[in-house]
Amino acid sequence: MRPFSYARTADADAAIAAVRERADGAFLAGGTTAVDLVRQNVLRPGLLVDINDLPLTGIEDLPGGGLRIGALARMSDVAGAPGVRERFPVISQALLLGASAQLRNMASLGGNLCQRVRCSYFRDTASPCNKRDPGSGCAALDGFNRGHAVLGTSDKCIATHPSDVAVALVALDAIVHTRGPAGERAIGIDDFFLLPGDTPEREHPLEHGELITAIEVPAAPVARRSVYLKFRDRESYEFALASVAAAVRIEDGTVAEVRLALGGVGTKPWRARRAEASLLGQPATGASFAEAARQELAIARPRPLNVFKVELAQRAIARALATLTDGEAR
Amino acid sequence: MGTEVAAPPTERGAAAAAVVLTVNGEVHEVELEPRVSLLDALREHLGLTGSKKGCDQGTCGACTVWVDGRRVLACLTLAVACEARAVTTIEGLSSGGDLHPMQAAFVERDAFQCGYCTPGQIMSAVALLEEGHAGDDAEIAEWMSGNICRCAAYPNIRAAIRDVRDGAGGER
Amino acid sequence: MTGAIGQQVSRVDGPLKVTGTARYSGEIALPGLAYAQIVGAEVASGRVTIDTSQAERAPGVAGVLTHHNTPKVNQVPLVPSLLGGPAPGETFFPMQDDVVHYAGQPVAVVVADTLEQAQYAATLVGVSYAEAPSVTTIDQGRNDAYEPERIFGGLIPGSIRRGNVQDGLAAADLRIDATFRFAANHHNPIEALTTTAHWDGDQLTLYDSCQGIKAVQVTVAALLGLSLSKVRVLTRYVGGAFGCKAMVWPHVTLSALAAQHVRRPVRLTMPRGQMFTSCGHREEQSSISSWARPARAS
Repeated sequence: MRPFSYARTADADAAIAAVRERADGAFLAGGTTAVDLVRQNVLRPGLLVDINDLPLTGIEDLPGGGLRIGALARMSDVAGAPGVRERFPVISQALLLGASAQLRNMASLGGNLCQRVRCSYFRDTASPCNKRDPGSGCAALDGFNRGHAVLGTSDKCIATHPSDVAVALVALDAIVHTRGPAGERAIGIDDFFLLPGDTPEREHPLEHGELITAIEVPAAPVARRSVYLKFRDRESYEFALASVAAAVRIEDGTVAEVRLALGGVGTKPWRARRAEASLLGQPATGASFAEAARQELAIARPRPLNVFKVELAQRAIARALATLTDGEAR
Repeated sequence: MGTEVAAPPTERGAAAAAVVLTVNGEVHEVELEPRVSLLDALREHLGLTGSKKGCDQGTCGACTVWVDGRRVLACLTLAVACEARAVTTIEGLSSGGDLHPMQAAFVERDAFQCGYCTPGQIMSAVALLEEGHAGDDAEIAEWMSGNICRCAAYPNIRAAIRDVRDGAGGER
Repeated sequence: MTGAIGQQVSRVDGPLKVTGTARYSGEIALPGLAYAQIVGAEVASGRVTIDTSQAERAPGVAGVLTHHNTPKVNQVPLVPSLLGGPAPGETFFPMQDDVVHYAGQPVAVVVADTLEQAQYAATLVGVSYAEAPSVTTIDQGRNDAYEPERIFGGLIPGSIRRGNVQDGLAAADLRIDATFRFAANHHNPIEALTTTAHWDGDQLTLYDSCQGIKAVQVTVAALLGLSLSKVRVLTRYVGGAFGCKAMVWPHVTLSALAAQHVRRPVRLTMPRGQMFTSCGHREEQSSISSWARPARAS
């Protein structure tokens, strides 16, 4: 890989200033994205600022039932935290179904949100890619696009967002806390992920040098009964073809509250608002689940090799809801 | 597993400079550029070729080592980022001339053929038992899924892990 | 010794492999060792123009080989190694001219003091292509298909016939026709191809991950025009092969040529991505089959 400078600090403001100072400065957390893509010559930082010593690893149970997860908390630690497993099982499941044990020990939650796409054209500097080299074209549109997105696509980019835990966090309306040159702010997680549109190179509304410090998950009693299902070619250690994060509360056989989000099918973690709206007040039956799923995927725009994802995502929604309501559905 | 570790400097440029690595309890000072992975530092600079390079992109697990007691991938770890951290490799697993029970179990159960994934499998397996995710074969398979064996010794790898889990110490 | 037959015996290489002390071919330290990286063609067919000036100026670079400065190797016939002759993986040897025959074909070899320097300098080799049409799938090549007289180095007939298939099919009271399509398969042993070449005067020593040290010796000697006594091959352990290390692929001889060029021992270890284009593979196949059940005599 190309040469780069390296700095290490335990102070957030020092890290922010160091990255801000150079246009090609970047943060280094677990390294599972950065080291990989620098080696592929896709990322070209001139300076990596190692932030692994920052005191941002805490996993805090908030009064009221929410969570505050430090950006540097490792995937494995978050997955195993008692408060997460008990009140937000969908988060724990999403984490444990992602990556491998070794990667989960390395990767931070903040880094997980910022991970880059798996599109093989993005990762191959010989291929045109608007995300990597704006304006160069998109080789995936008419190439090998079996793993690509059917929701949120544009004619500039159809790459799928690969994170699992982001899907769970989107279903739960998490908040991304950041600290940057202009101070601190809170970004709703759905706004944290940008659609590719005409600027696929821009994936997050972060300023250069802005650092994620924590991810807050608001209290949500409905999340106690939640699940993450992941459908993929291999049984383990493989990205999703389609996945779903779901939480639901049934009262008198009808859907009183529901959270749904899709992974593996969108250019960003996909909050399934149409499906949620369709389900509220409906009987908790397979027919309702299928109709809600159909409405959500109605706007899907598949490419030649990923048409199957439209049906798969619908069935995933229905399966997740059935799993959660088994015994309560009429 | 931790021993005394050296204190790190905080900043350096792109050129090769002294990096202090604590590997298997021994302190080494090597001239390394920041871009050198922990895996290449071990194999090319420290003569510790036990950790293997199968893919160099985090997908095969052959480079599994421990950093501060956790199993991680050395190919996606920068060597310079390991200053003031304790690194343990396959070479550090056995003490004196005796094999670690997991190593002995791998031999007893013939849990390898070509042997190239083996150090990574063993480092992962020992960590797995300490993490407590070896309840049954399905759980072992799931939590060892980050270690690929192209010779398909998986059933024997799981048998070796079960042996050590159950305190069989590698005896059949 | 006969007491061992039928007994469960632990492998003698077991303790070495489980302690990580078994030395595989890419793990042999030699004084002055330099690292090589192949630059592969990014088009499947055409001609290259190469500018190595930026790569040659990069830190640590000891030399760059291209078709401009790679010595000509001998033409060696393609015969299976079981006959004791040379066993090159293909009749074609790269970097002898500017023609690209397949994507990934070596068009340059960069040699540097460290692995990172070689990898980085490889990205600095300027390769431009005059691309030509290519045929890379069965469907693309179908119109030019032909039935060969003989295959496998001429050892086996191109087609084998027995009995009368047409009559048998015509007399069937049940017939099944099916076409099976197989995707290409790549061996991908977990240890990638790796060769370390060391010249001592005119004596060449190769540490090569291979499935036959004799095949490597005979092939490299034939390509380079050396007598067998001048080529020594050592392979202590092999990290899997599954066939991809049985034939002798160009990287082995390129390592020797690179070592000759920079006058230092050179180690070339194939990055995983290049494994798909460097050591053969099981090609895409289409199998058209028919089964017939003869009508019973009434």
